[in-house]
Amino acid sequence: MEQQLAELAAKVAELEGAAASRNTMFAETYYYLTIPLMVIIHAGFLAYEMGASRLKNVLASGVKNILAFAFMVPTFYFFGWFVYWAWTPGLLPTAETWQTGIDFANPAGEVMGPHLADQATGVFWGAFTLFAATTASIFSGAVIERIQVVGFVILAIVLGSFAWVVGAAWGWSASGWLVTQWGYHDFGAAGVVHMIAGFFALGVLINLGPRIGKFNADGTANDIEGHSMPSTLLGLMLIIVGFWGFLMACIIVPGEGWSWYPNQFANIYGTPVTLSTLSFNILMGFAGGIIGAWMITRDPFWMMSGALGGIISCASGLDLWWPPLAFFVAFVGGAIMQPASKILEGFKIDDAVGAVTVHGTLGIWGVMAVGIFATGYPSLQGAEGEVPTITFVGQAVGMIMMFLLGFIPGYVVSLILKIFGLLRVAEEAEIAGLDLTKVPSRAYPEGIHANAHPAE
Amino acid sequence: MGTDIKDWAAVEGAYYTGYGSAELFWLILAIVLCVLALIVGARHEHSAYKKLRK
Repeated sequence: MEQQLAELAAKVAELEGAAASRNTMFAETYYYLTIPLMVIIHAGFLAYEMGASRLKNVLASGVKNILAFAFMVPTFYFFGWFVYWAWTPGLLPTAETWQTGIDFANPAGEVMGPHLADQATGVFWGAFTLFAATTASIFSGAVIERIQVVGFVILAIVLGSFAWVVGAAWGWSASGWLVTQWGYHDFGAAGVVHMIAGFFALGVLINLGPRIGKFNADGTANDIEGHSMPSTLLGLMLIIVGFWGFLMACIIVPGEGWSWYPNQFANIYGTPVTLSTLSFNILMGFAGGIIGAWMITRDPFWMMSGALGGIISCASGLDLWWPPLAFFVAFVGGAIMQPASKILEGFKIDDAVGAVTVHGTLGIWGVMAVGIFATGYPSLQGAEGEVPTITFVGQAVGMIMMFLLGFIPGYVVSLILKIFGLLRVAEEAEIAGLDLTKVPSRAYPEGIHANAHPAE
Repeated sequence: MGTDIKDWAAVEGAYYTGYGSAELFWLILAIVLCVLALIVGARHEHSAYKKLRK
């Protein structure tokens, strides 16, 4: 009998070990697969920005976009991942949090390399690197056709490997001060990623100035059409495909030492979420944004931007919305995009792809929609009265911080680059075309039957 | 460089090239290469503008 019990116990232990091992493999594979899904976002941004560029600038826009991604990887390894750990939970790092950064993200330490006792760090770093690259690419489209490539790369590094990471440490972590003190809730990063990137772009655009020919002497604006609307539309759809990976990576898988629950998905704050919820609300947001934009504009560019804008509008509360409410929030977002873009144009801001509007303005709407429709939910795990709840004021505080975290670095760093002559391309180059000036190949060497405008 | 590992069965932790001795060197080299690429890129860009003006 005793021997049978011992065999049974050994068998149970073996089965438990196998189950734990399978869960670990599942968890690591889950995040690993979000990485190539998020790479699709960059395929999308590449097609989108090249399509939105005139024939004379197609490849220069592509080069710029590719470099943003490429430089984000090493710089996020060098310091971006460290910033996330060292800046949580307070406004600035302390000696203790600095040590946390060393423990979890020292770029000269064994934690950041192949290690049999730690098989997860690289996967998490990879997913966050793609978050960073996505953030930088959001800003990229706004400045096409007149920014110097190195100046752009420096700005992308500041945004992707620092500014948004601080936002994430403050508001996208269960111990971030915006969460613990204000109950800030931003599941899908409408504030942390989209607002910061959108308003970073605004800060840069003020110093960069509009493209030659965008505005007339009387202040009216001209439409500068890209060379390929189909490429732009396909790019937008690819971005949306990739965002499924982005949002998938916003979930904490159960059953691991670092998990919130043994048997249930959670969000980054440790409150419950299900894949079912995300499926409902992402799709309803996608559809609501398209239909809202179509109702106002009839323009395919804004319709497809509406799909992205709809998801961004819903992003902060994707884990909480009743799906028809998600549709409504997205519909409103889709409908206000083009009018908001026209208002921006009235200030002589030339945002070539509507990034400030789609990501910045709709990011505000996304964050505040949670403060309007989802108040009262506990922001963290814990007993009633012991944890903060979602409030309008808390979301407003988070929204203001995200605006500042985007706008101030974008404005200040671009101003410094402008002073040192590293921001805007030479006027002759802008007129002749950036491809002709500095790219050693041609986009369409055999030509296309185009009605592209000559250099303006 | 290389490794001291002679038997994979004995490996339980880090196993990358240069473990314990060369991490900082390669890190600094990678940083330098990034900075160098940006400097060369800026010089190329500015010389392209000058060339266009001629």
